[in-house]
Amino acid sequence: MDVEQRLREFHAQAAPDPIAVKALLQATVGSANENPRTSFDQVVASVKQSWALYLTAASMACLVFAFTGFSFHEQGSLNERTERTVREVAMNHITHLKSEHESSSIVELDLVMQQLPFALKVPEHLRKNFTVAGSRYCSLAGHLAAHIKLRNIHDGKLSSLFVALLEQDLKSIGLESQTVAGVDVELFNEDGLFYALASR
Amino acid sequence: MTQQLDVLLTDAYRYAYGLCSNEAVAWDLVQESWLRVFERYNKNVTRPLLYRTVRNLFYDRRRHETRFPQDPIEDSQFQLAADNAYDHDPGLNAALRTLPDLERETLFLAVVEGYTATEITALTGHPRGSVLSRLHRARQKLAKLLDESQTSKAKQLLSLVSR
Repeated sequence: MDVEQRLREFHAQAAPDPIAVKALLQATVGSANENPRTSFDQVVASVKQSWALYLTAASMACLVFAFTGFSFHEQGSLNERTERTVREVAMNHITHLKSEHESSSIVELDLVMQQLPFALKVPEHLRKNFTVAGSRYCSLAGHLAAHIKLRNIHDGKLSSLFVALLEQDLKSIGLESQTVAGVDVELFNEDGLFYALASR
Repeated sequence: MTQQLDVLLTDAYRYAYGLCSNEAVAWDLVQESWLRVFERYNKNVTRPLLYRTVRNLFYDRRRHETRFPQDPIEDSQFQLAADNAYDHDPGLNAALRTLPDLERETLFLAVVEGYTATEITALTGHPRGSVLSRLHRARQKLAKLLDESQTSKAKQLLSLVSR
């Protein structure tokens, strides 16, 4: 068979998991539909109705902007980063990519995942309720990370623990708990590592 | 609308797979790129925009790997994911993995996506001459690699028959 034809047929087979695509779209497009932004035309129309209101609002906005200034902008971008990380963690959990290494021992997983610039470990408070099921490489907020699959010893459900080295930019991410697309995400730091726990 | 986005994500995944030849890495690239562009452009995400984000992210990661000397994660992942790869043509898959990133990408864009050299120039920002020579080299290498793998297969079969 012609090499080019073979190449086309080969790539035609490459398709993402439809469930993962659906989950990604649901979490992004779906959530955008739930909270639709006010359209620009609507805003313009309402502003035109009252010039007095417009002037008051503009002067108020200038005052607020002058007072909050740069710190407001910085805070905004920090919040965005946190939110993006939370969403990324939720998506990675939902997609259920296969573990590259399967083991119930974190030490074994640490031995085989030699590309990581840190030693793998499960935080003390999680060891009481979870056992390790497997792991894979992944990325978290642009950093090389480990995706450890944890099994809840009480109900057998799988949770995902993402671990990355706590680098300077990760320190700026807010440590909080949020629910995104039905996934509970908890961000925390411990012993120089950045953790994100996702469970449904 | 969702259907269109579905197709867009599938195409972007195919492109990402063409870049890295690894299922898990390709989906990681698409997912992260999608989150980035959707956050900024909402539903007005276009194909060139998503492709460019996937591409930039892929080469950023490659640069990061080069800067921090360690075994490229992709190489080990290639091995690990080999069992799960699109197995209907393992010979071609293995041959593609031996091509340099830029040659593999150019070949994918020209042959699979059907872009012209000028269009690839616009997408990648590389000179047209470089695109054409990369395409030529990639075609030659791939044909040679596939030919070699066919010959070794034939030799194996002959040795089995003659036993």
